[in-house]
Amino acid sequence: MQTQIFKNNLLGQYSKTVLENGLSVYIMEKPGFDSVFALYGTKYGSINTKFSRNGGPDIEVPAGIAHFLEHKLFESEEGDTFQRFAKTGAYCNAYTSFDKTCYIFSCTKSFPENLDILLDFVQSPYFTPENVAKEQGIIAQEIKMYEDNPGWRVFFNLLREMYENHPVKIDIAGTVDSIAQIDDKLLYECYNTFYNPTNMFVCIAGNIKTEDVLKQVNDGMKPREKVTVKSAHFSETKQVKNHFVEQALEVAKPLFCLGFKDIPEANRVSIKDRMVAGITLDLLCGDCSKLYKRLLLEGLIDNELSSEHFQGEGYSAFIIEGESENPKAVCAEIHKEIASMLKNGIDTRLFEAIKKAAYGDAVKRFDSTENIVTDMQDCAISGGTLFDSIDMLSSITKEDILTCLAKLTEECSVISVITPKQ
Amino acid sequence: MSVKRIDIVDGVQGLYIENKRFNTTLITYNFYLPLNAENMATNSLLPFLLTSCSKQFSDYIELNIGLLDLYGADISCSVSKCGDLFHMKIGVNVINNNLALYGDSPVSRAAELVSGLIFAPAVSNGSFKAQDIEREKRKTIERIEGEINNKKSFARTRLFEEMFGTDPYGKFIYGSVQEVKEITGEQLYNAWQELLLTSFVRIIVVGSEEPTDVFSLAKEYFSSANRNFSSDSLFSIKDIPERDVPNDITERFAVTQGKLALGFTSAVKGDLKEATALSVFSDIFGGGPYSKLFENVREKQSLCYYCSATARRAKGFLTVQSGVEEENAQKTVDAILKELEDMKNGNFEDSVIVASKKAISDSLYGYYDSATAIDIWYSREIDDSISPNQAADIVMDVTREDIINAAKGIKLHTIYRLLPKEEK
Repeated sequence: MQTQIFKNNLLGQYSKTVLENGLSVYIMEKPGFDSVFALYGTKYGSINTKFSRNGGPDIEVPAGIAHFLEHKLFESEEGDTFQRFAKTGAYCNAYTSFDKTCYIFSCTKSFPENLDILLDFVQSPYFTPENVAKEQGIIAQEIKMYEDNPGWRVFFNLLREMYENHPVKIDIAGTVDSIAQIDDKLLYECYNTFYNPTNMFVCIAGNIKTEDVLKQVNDGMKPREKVTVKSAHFSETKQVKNHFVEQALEVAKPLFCLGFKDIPEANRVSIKDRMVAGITLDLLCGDCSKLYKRLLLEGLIDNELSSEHFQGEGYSAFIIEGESENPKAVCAEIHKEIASMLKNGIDTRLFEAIKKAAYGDAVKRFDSTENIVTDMQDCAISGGTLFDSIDMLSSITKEDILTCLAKLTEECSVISVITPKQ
Repeated sequence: MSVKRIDIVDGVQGLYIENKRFNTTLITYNFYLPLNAENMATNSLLPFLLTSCSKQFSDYIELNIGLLDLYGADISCSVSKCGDLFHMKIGVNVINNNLALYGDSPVSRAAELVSGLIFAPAVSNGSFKAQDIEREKRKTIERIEGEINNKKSFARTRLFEEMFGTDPYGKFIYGSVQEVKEITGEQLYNAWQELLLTSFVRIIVVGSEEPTDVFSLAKEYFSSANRNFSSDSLFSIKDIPERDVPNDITERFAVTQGKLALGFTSAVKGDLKEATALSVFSDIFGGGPYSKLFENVREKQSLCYYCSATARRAKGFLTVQSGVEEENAQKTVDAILKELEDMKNGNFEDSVIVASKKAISDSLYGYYDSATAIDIWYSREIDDSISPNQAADIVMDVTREDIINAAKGIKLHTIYRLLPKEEK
């Protein structure tokens, strides 16, 4: 076992331990708290559709398996996992995203019992042709539900026009056709590949003792063969497929997403560059920006624009979302503002205030065991530590922002719009 | 965990809840007024207007920059019904002084900022500024339209309207689009004055240091105001008019999935033990994944996409909501009522009682890990004498008999069906 301790004078400390079997365990003791939040996750999400196992040839699998596995793991020979947690009173849930699948619980009582259930059910796959067929119907319903969800559609329509090859463009749950190809054998194959300890992590924060938890996790590990897994690289250029995409759905007002495609230099964006991206977007279109004020005054928007730097293995994009009767005019104003900022420079007062707020936001994350665990999971996948954002803030300069802004060109942008059905 | 009560002036109370586990301090101003259908839309618009600008911050952007400079402090506001009271909350969450980078005191500055929004808004000549009012009206209208678009919450809104008739409790809190359009600057000004002069006020601080300046700022303002506060309406809850035959309403809209909303009266009239038994009953009936409605109506009979019950303790009633295909609507209503009868007859497992009590109490024991949860706890009821931990203990004391008694007091009052328009 190898343990590293990470400390911050004001915010406390946490540890990262790699067990003999390769599992990474992150623990932050919060002695004043009543509850514990725990997560057991794997670096396996919707984008891992092509991979090689133990150095073998690439295997390609249908989209949506990671999400399908998440659903199926809740079922075991001993019955439904929700019922097991119901006996202890804990809250449990799971989610699948582009690059991870995570199983979580939170509780104030019976923590060891709950941790045992979590460790056990994630390590006990139980797939049969019958239970897989039943799930296909349920997931197909879920996929159809998302087809009517305007917020979801505006986002995935954007990704589809932005990416040529990268599987990030496919819905996390896959398609009705792709999940129809899934069977129990395929599920076992993906489970055995991605649910192996070297590819997995446990993150826990709350009123616990590190030593006790480490022992329990270690004791709860089932024997597994060592597997090395390598996901395929999907090559992309800055070029997008189309600059505009539109769909009509039941909405009161048009909603839009403006995305700028970027190619991460080292396959993944660095922690500092992620922070720079966040500050850049705030300066450009946050609720204190000149652009926001202008759009409000001109009546082009009524509510705030939201923005995110969307990134992961092999992809990176700057995305701005909002509602407007005239999405194209809003996007034109955004492009105009970028040009003006590049020409006239960055407002120092706003830049400093946004950095101060970023510090406050980072500090606030430590008030919630759920947020701490979410951030630990991010460290498990992307590297870095919980204190990086606080430590690196002062090194971010206005030049960093300008370099970042220069990437947001019209050539690499896509507008996705959902219009009201007539 | 300690709770300190500070009497600021008559009808204005401070509550300091010391909690050393957080890096932040949460300060909220809670105002309570009797529910009134005529001014509900105006009162609901007011906090959004107050938190968008002030004398000090000429517009929304300036206010936001002020908040960024306070290490990203968050301003929040909400309106809700608390029994038969209208409850308005305006709050700020800010990092503690010991975490400030430049030796400043963010908590004091945040206290000043939020009291400025409430006591010194951007008003002149007995009105707010037209431009600010128009902006907030547009946002409120969007909120109302969003509610109409979300058929699940719309069905609940319609159920309340039908169930409560002329009782203002049944009215949608933001009012109608037409009402919002007609609100004048003068009405808003008067609503603001009435709020400060006649409402019951509770200022809640959840933090690690006693913020004396928060309470002194409030005292300074309220003691010079000419308050005319009466506690008469604070504790009374109006009964829901009984019905011998349940009200059954069907409306048709352009939807693919139908919605059911059922309203039931209960025998609970404010007694804490009975209200707690009602919560446990409601959880076993249609709360957790072990509940009767989930297990039997949804899973075994596959009658609907969801089916869940909610106890509305402050007013003493219960709702059940479900998403169904039209051909299953009546079968679902029948199945829900059958499960209720089963509960009245005590047909539920002891293991479910244990699971439900553990789930409810586990969540209550965790309240102190969230400043927002503590704040909501101490603001949603006027009686602040019970802590979440005590409430959790009361949950653990609920017996099978208590649950059956709660079930026996449940009576169907109104069925609201939102169904698809027939194909032409």
